[in-house]
Amino acid sequence: MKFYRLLRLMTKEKKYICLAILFGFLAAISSIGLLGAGGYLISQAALEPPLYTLTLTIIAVRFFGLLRAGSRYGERYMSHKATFRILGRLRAYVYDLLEPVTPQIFSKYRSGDLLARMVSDVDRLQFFFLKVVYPPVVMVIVFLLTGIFLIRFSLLLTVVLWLGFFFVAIAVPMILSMVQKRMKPVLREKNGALSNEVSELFYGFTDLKTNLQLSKKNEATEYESAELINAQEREHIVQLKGETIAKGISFMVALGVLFLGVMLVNAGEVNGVMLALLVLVSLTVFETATPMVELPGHIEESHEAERRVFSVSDQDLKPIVEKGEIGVASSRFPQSITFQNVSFAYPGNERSSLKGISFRVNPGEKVAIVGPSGSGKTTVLQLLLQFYYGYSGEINIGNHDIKLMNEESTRELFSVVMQENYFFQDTVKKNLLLAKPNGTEAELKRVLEAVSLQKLPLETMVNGMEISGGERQRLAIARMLLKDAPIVLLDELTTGIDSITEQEIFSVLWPHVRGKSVIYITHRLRDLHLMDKIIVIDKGRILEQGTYKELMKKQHGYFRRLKQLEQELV
Amino acid sequence: MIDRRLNDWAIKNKRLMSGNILLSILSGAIIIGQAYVIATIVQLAFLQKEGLSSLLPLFALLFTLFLLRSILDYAVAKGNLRFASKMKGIFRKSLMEKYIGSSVLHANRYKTGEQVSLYTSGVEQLDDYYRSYLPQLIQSSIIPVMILVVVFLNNVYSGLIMLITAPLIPVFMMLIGSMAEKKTQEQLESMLRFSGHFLETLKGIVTLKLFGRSKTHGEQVKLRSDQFTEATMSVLKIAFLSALMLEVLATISTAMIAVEVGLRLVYGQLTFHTAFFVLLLAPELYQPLKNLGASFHTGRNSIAAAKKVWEVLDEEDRPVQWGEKELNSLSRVKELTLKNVSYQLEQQGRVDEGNGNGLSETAEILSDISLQMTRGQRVAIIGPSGAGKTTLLKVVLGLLSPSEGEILVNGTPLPFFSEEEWLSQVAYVDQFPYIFSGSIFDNVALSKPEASEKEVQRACEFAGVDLFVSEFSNGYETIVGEGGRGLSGGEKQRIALARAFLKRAPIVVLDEPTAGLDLETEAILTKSIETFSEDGMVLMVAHRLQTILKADVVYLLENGRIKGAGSHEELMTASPAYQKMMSAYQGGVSHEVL
Repeated sequence: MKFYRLLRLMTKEKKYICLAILFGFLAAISSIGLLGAGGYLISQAALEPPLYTLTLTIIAVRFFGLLRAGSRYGERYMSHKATFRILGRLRAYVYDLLEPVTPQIFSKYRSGDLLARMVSDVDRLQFFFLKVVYPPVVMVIVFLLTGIFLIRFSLLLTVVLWLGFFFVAIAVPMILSMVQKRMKPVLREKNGALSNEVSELFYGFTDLKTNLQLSKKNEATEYESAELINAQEREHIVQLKGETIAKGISFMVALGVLFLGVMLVNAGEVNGVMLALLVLVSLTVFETATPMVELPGHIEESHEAERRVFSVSDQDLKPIVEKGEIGVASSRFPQSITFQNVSFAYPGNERSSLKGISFRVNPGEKVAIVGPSGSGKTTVLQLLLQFYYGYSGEINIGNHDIKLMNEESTRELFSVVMQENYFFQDTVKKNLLLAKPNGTEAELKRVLEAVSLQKLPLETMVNGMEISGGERQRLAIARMLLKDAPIVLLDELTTGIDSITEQEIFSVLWPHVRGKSVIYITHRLRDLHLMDKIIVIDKGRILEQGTYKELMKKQHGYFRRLKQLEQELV
Repeated sequence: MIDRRLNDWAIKNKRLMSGNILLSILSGAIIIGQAYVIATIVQLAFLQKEGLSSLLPLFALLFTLFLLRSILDYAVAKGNLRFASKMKGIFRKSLMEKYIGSSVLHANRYKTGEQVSLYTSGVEQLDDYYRSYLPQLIQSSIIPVMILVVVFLNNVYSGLIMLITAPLIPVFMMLIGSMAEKKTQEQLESMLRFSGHFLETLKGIVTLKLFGRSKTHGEQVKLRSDQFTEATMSVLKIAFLSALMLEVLATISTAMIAVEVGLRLVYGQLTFHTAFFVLLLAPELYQPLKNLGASFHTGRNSIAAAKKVWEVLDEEDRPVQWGEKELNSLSRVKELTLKNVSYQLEQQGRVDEGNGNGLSETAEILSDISLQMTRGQRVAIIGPSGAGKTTLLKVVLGLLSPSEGEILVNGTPLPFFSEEEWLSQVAYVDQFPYIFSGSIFDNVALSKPEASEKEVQRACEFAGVDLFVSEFSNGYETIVGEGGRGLSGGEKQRIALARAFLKRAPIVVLDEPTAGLDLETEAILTKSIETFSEDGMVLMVAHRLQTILKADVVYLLENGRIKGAGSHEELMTASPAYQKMMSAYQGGVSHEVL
């Protein structure tokens, strides 16, 4: 059902939602009341009665005036509060949605794109209550009550009002939504087409220009822009027509009420004093109804955002094999790691990233996996960390197939330092505590000292400008040290870092991994003589493995040639 | 709060402006007329006890007025809509002209994302300015004045109440604008930051998983969001309070008017007709003012977007000059000379906006570069990162315009030739070639769209594209994503080499990749350089010793200046800077046991 999950989330903020609706209703009804009472007041006054008979009406006018201002305030306050609180729930919900499928989901979408889209969809959905749920509810209540109020005078008036309501708030928006439903996909498609074209033009500018294809691309971009603008214009015009018709109908209702009113006064069924009141009420009541024309647009937008957000959880990204619950009791001791004939293709990719990989890392052994970019090095690590499933072959830690092991407790075995290590926008201290929640301040300082960051105060904000790339990597190493897991995984941790800094990083790293198993993934071939074994892969296959000396001895060995090439780099 | 230059565009369109002004006046008149007719009908029916039949002409008049107002509203709104559409097209076109015609896109590749979003959504935001904000502004400065005048003519006291309160509304709005609104703005910004923080958290899921903390973090997200809500609400309270003042002003004055006219009616100082007429007009006076307040936000967004557009359009630039001359008058390029070429960015200031390290390429300059190359030669440029190597390549390609000095082709200055002629003589192999979304075939054929299937295939065989194409079931028709998703760095490089081969240009300009290539691609690259220089000339930024050794001339570039030129051997004996550079990298690896 449409919006089912969203509405369920919302029900948890019942209190604020009800208050917002209450105040919204009061605001609307008091602005009707204000003018109605005003009209009644002058009609009464026109009969030049003694002044005291007017007192009650005067009080009513003032009361409605104040009530309206006050309830508008309450409405604003409560509706914002409800919106923000729903937003909080929505975020937590989306987090919980993404958590189990990260990072598998990124093989399907580019991670940056997906996450940015999720965030902006959530931002859009936060207005679901404010724009989609709340206005119709308030409006229906207002029209119901106003209609009931009018029954006092004549059922006919109520019928005219509700008829107008039906057209303005239900029929016109529905027709509009039907027309727009056909336009929206076109609009989305054109929007996508334009941003594709213009991205390609800007990012591929040099290639386009030097190949004399720029003007062609420019024409294509201009064409898409014109197409999009046309589609938008058509949509806006439909919207405008809807608005005009709705407004016209609300005028007609006012006219009808006036007409009926005069008729009823003539027939003596309604006191003439009431005529002004009726007119003013019927004019004001539609103020809440005309925005309904915008509702289909908001519904469509929210629906689209909802569909995208929740589609993440609907995808089949769960492990195919039922996960086992074998815990890792003796997690303090290094254990062997074996890959047996492991093949794997990322979901949606035709080519396999790994093609029958077999190797073994003995407890306490230091192994480097080297190869050019795109060779499948990192895939090895991702499978080991159980970020992806659906590989063939077997991966074992100790005597256990990792498929049968508890995911969380397996990860306890590893400390990981990657090329891009993630730090939360928080203090150094908080980021370090992530690795060891009960770590003492002294402990943290000791670890910082170990990675030569003793000068960095614990309260410094990470992600601030003052932390350099080299410092970030050392901070990641500090986190690794705090976690003190038996197996250390290093993935391209010095890519994009100059060689002097690289040297510094390694000099703090190697002394701290004694006695641990290490898998070091790199395309730079530095410090590899320190490794017990080197595995060379390209295109998802192992080409060579052996010690540094063994590999360097091979006359035409792949590793030796890679090493030579690297040495010749200026 | 307006943007003068945006307005100038609108003012130029006389029909639009006069349409809007005319509409406002007419709407004002219709609103007043409507109120007058309604008041008359009610008065006649209520006090004079007139029958329905004698009122029919008035009802017909009222109907006509309603109809007229609807039609008028629609017509002008549609006009505004059309104009907004037209303006979007114009803005996009001028932006693109600026981008394409200038060096902006070359000089600052790190801002590409921003440029894309300015072109698409930035321009989109200007739409609102013309579609709703400006018309709203015009209406709210005309209609209230008209109503005020009419009310004054009918009942001075009500007029006075309005006169005192109505101007207070814009004043209050301005007040909110300067005080509470500023705070709200800050709050909105911090809200944006907060949604940025949410993005950060989502990005951090992998890290949280690695530390076994991901399952419980959802709670934290909620907690932080709620804390934020509390902080926001306390600020918003103030902003709402000012809105409350506004509301109080509008409603209380309506109430005051109602009571005032009511009392004067009792004392017979006013007719019922006038009283009702004034009461009907009161909400109409405040409505456009309130609408304007509501659209302030839209207006502000549009103006902010416009500011960014002007920034780009106003940027000073030195476009590359081109002439009419056709190169075939020279048949083939035999000689390329750079004479005292310097390159400098026009505006130094805007380059270095904290993009972090590694982006120093944007600030590169060249001073006094002279070099010469002839057919069959290989020329290598080496130097530390940030020396200006890539900038030099782009100047030679004619993508950037030298600030001083000249480039001679067979002795003729480059600006004499037409751009098309020159670009068809050069092929460029970028360090990070861009792969367009489409088939592998189309990506290679980019350099020669009219090429036959056979030609493209030959180029692919030459560059080793065929070796990986065979791994796909769709072969050359395999669709690769934008940016070449699913292809490795080496494979993208091969596609770029195939493009260059297919183009068969006499000058090949090549930016050698630094690291991470597979051996197969390395070999293909070496072979390609040889093939390219057999019949033409190759200018390349070189990183490999093998490439440098095989170059006929090596130029050492440092801080935008040539610090030495000659063959490797010559430089090794003659240039201390070159020696230092060569030994630096030797030293860099010597600590390892070889």
